[in-house]
Amino acid sequence: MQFSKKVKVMNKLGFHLRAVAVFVKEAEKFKSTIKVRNNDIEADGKSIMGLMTLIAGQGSEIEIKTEGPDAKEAVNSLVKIVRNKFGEEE
Amino acid sequence: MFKGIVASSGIAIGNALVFTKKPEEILKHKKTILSVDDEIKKFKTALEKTKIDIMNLRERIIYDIGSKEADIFVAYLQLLNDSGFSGKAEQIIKDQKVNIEFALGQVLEDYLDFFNKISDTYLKERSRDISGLIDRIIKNISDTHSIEQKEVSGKFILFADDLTPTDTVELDKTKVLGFITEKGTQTSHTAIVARALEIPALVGVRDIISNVKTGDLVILDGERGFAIVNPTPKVLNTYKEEQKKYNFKSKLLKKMKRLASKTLDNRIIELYANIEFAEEVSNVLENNASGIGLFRTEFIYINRANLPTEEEQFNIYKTVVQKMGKKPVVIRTLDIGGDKYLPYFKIPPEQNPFLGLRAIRLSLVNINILKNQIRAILRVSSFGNVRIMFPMITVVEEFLEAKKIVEEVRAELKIKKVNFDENIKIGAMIEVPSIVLLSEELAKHADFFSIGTNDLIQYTLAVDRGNEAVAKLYDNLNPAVLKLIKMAVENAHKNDLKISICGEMASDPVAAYLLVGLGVDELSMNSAAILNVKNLIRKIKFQDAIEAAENALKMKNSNEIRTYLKEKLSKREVLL
Repeated sequence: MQFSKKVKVMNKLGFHLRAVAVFVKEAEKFKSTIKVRNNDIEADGKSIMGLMTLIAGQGSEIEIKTEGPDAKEAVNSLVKIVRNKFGEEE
Repeated sequence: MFKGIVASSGIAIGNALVFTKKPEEILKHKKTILSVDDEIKKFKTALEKTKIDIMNLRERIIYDIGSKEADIFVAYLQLLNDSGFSGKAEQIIKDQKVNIEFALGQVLEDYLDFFNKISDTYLKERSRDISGLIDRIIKNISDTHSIEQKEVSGKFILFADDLTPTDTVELDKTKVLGFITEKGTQTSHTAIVARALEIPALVGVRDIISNVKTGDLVILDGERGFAIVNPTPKVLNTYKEEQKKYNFKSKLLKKMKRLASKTLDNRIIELYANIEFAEEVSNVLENNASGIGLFRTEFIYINRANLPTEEEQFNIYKTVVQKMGKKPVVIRTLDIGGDKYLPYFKIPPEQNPFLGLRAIRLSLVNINILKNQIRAILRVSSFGNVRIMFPMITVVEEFLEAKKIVEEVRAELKIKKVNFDENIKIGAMIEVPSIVLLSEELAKHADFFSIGTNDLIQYTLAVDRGNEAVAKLYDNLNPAVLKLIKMAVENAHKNDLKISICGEMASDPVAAYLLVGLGVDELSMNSAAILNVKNLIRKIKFQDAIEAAENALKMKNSNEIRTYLKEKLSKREVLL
């Protein structure tokens, strides 16, 4: 199974370390491979350093691509995390 | 002049060597390594230690502030396993055959380069997070500082923010005249090392690092607890005299080693040692203590990622017990909670940790942890003279419950035909006023009592001595405390129990005189204080001490008591 969804980064600090940590923690729950793309850069959704180098600040639109047995659940739950501003207030 | 806490007494005069942690320089320092495997192994160990540090830190933050603020540490923990971070550093070590610090420097540089290309200040700010983590890893690599040690020839006084066990391992200890650290307490690693080496140390000296440079002339006064940087010639001369006097005194005390701890009228007061680490046994023997009156076991549990197994504990206890031969070793069961946390063992946050689930209370609701420890202690009891002691008993039932656990483990070991001392003594720590008041009943069930004065004072006077605003109230000669001690002694003796003191109070000669007068049988203290107290014991009469204690109990406050006792002792020239 393969899925792909686009989502806008809404929180003020963007994909900063804490946010990335929340993302990776969620991503690691899934068996599927997870890729995240911002413009021309693609990173492993389970690697914190990789995601940091996406330089996805507030307002950037990222694409989450998942592949594997739980790909659908993975993409949905990760999109939700980004939409919820990684649990941050602003 | 800088004030600090005396962690090890003595006077040192010498040049400063400052262990600054300048990560930028360390990260640029490229060294070719001899063995890639060794370097990787070292790196992995440092990562493991960093993981534990971060877990500890995270616990504290959750406890103090809240779980959201602690999320950054989750990120750190992830980074420690990340292929793009530790993985990359490892690859650099392998490919370029360079030291860990340099490899981490490369990772950081690549990362910063990347962020420098962008304008987003928020994200740029984030690069600090990564360098913060790198600092932590660097701290856990043992030879990071050896670069600087070469800068000072001859002996030196070592200055540091704090010294980790790994820092001190690589240190050329024959060159250290003394230690001064900004952080730390009397029980921190630096303090223990200093006492083991018998060199003076001050800990908790605020702002000292920014006010001293490598090469500065420094006086470390480990008697009064301060440091003087670049003293005037006059002060320097005074201290040279002081140092001579001090050295004379320590020589005198060394003569005490082989002598009995007996008063002039032949009352024997056994002097025991308190220890935290198995390595301290050499000190205990060096000072010829009668045994170990308090073996704190928390340190076996702290600073690791999971509970120690029964076997690990058994081996640690065995090392200590075997080295002590026939001398008693009192092993106190786990005393955490309060201000001590275990990263792998969660206790729900409490409003008042010191009044909460700590010490024996915690053990009695986590029976398996307690049983594991009791099993290890019982097994080791066949190798020497071992006793069990339960901390912070508040009511008699708690002690009975703890004893029941010992009974269960004994039965279990018997079935398995494992050897242990059938007559092992089980004692209670007297640290809470309630149990003093109930000690007549407790004495019927215990084999011995040991008063933990630090906690008894804290709970009697309702004062946290770490809180500067009220620390003045914390006083070991407070008449209320003395009355409680007297009561505990009387109730112990009524039931033919021996009673000891294992708090800091025992190491203060003035207080020790009073304790002897109150009828305390044994004193347990840090090894370094034993000879000084023995010197006191050998110069006093038990009958005088009893009289002095009786008089002291009639006095209004601790000032009056202290002045009175000091005057009595000065006549006997026992206060060196």
